[in-house]
Amino acid sequence: MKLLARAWETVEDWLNADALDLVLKLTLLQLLVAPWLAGQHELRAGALRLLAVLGLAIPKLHRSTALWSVLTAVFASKVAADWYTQDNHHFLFLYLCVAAVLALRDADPTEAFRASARGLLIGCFTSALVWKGVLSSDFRSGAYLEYTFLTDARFFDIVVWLTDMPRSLLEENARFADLMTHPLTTVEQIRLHTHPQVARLATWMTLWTLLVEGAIATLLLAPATEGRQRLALWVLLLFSLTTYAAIPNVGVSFGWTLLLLGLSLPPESDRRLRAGIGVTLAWVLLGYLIPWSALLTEAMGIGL
Amino acid sequence: MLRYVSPMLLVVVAVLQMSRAVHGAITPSKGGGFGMFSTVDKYENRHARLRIDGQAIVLERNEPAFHALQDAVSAPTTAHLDAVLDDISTSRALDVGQVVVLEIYGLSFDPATGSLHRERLATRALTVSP
Repeated sequence: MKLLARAWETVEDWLNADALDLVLKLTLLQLLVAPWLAGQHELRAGALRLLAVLGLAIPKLHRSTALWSVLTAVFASKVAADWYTQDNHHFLFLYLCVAAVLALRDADPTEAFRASARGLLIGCFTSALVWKGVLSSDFRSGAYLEYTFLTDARFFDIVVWLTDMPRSLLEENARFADLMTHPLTTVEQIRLHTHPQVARLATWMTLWTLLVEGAIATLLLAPATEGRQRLALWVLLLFSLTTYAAIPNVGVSFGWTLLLLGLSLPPESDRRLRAGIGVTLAWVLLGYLIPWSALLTEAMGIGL
Repeated sequence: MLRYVSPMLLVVVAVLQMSRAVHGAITPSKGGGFGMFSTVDKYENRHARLRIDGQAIVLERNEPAFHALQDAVSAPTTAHLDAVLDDISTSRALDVGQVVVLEIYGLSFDPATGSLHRERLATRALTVSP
């Protein structure tokens, strides 16, 4: 009973907390949870993790401009050193840190961060949409997602659930793709195992992705009204729940950063939306910690 | 105004990356343009082929040229390719007259036939001089 009361107290604290407080604490937590963010450079990764631990352990330090300035400088040095091999989530995380430093110097930090976060979400989804909908003919035609479903092991559970494609052929495809990118390979061309159902799944998922990313960008780009912003955030939750179930490692890096930016947007009175974001953050984290799709596939004996 | 510094930074980096990627100077999946999960021509589908006097070699992660090679695979510009060749000729103490060739390859997928093709994106050679 005491445990339940304590859990409810935690939920109440979450629902009533200052939005910027939550974002800053969860961003520090993210640095500890997602190993790709801190990177492999021992000194830099160690410094980032130490700053995160200090920010979480020492009361009020998570709102220190000095802490966020040092953290941002260290993270910026990482992005600069490995610029050409950094993923989107490294850049987005850096922009979030810059927004945090500048917001903490503002007279109204929560409102300042809210404005930056909205701009970052607009920029991020608009850029992704330009790539997927305009610049990449691979994506528009469905070829990219079909190739991904046929060769990327992270999607095999989903593919064998939704189509009749046998897992053994998908695994062979993955070996073919590895062979084609080996530094000593002389193979110029290879034919992958395909299936009409996988092609159809790719077409539907291509349309879904364009629709959902387009909806978020459009709703946020339109003149801000509370209703439009709320709808954009619910669509962001739908996007996160569906997308990061398949790729949980991207979920705790890129997905969490998107959700933390989203967490700062709704007014503190919107408890339902804040609870939804909290559940989605937890869902993405649990998806990363527990390989539920593989466990389910094994338990049900699908696609063996 | 400071509230918009961070989004403006995002836009500037993304527009520059898109422009470079469209001209083949960087893979869409890296460099801050938000082109991950958009094309088969992603970093993980690219690889480098290195030969010294016709003999294929593989660079290990701890070799000095490895970092430069990663940059060259992602962004196969002349400067990045030359950096790899210079690092290799120095770190492997090559003799005068030996030739190092670096080729960067990517993949393309034809959904109509299921064919996966290897495509050469860039080539650069260095003859070690005195």
